[in-house]
Amino acid sequence: MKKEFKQYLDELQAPETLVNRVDEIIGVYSELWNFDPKTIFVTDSINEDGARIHDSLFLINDAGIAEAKNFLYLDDFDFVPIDKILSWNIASKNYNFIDANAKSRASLRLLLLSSITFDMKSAQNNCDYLMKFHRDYVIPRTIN
Amino acid sequence: MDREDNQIQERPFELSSYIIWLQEYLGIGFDDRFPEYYVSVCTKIRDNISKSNIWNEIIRNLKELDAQYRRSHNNFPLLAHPNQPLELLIKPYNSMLKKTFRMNVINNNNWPNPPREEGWINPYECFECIDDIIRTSVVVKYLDGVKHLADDISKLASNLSIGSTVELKAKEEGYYAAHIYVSHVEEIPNIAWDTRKTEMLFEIQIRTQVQDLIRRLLHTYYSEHRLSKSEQKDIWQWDYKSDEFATSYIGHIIHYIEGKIVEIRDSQSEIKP
Repeated sequence: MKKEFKQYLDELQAPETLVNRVDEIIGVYSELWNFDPKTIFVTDSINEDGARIHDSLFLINDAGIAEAKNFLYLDDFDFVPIDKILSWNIASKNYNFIDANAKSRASLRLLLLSSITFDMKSAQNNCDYLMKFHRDYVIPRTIN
Repeated sequence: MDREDNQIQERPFELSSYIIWLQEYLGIGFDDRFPEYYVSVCTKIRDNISKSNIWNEIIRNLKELDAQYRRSHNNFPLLAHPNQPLELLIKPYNSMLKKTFRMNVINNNNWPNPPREEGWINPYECFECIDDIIRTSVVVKYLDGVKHLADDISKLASNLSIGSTVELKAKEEGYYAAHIYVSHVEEIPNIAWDTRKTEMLFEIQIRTQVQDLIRRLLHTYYSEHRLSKSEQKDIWQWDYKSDEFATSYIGHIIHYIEGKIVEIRDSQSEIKP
């Protein structure tokens, strides 16, 4: 696993089981479909017991976005080539889009030309990573 | 039978008479220092356990064990309160005395003889004889999580070459939980402040969220029930108006329902692609 991916997952305090699973999925995409991510993003939310729940793993490079849904316990993989993004929508709570805190929540919805949508949600410090993805990947590809 | 033998055979049925019995017939007297001594020793033991390898290994691995359970159970969580820190608790002094009372008298099927080969339970030696002087509890979401976590913790202990025993409790009064007894070696100061090295146990209780709620609500009932040993005890199962009937069967029914919930949860997971 790339050092920056491991660092990202450590920032999310991801348990080893989750880190290993991410590594496994990156390996699957690389070996079977020749897809190597430049960036990864793990969606998360905080449930009523205060536990951090991770749902989807997004693998992203210039060619497109791959999503592994419920990646911790399912093999449900897809890939969408990305050229242009038609629109995006951000919703947030307790977040100034710069410095997340323990109560911060943010979600990003992307609408592609093909009418395919991506929903990415984040909690706590992961909100900063979502905003970085939005800034570095989404904005440059959004149709003017 | 001489007077002394006859009076030993008089079984004390209350804590106050038990304490007198300890003093008069076993020569175990309590001075004013004993409660303070007990708390002081327990505090030392608790603090040492909190610094031990096995305790820190359990703390460190709880999140990992939750993730492993989610991985194999369709993201259903293991822990009910994942962010709640584990706390080591000391058995209160009166609870310790009551436990020796139960062991020596109430539940002693060998009465008027000692309950075990080694003899009577001496409250001054409770640290070696009582397995839950220091204890903690973990609450899991689902019924299968109880045994799952118990086995995981047992493996952690085994990896550190520390002895542990898992007991799956299913009591008549509707109490269901796993109790893990983990070995711990401690230097116990005697009341005269010389020390003895002893192997003792500390207890980890694991139960479901609902069983935890029941226990919290009915703790006083369970505690008092265990101190009474009436001749009528065996027919409470037919006394549907009694508190014992209601409280005991709540525990059993909840346990059954929790089993069905896990069954449904797992069968639904099989339906999904």
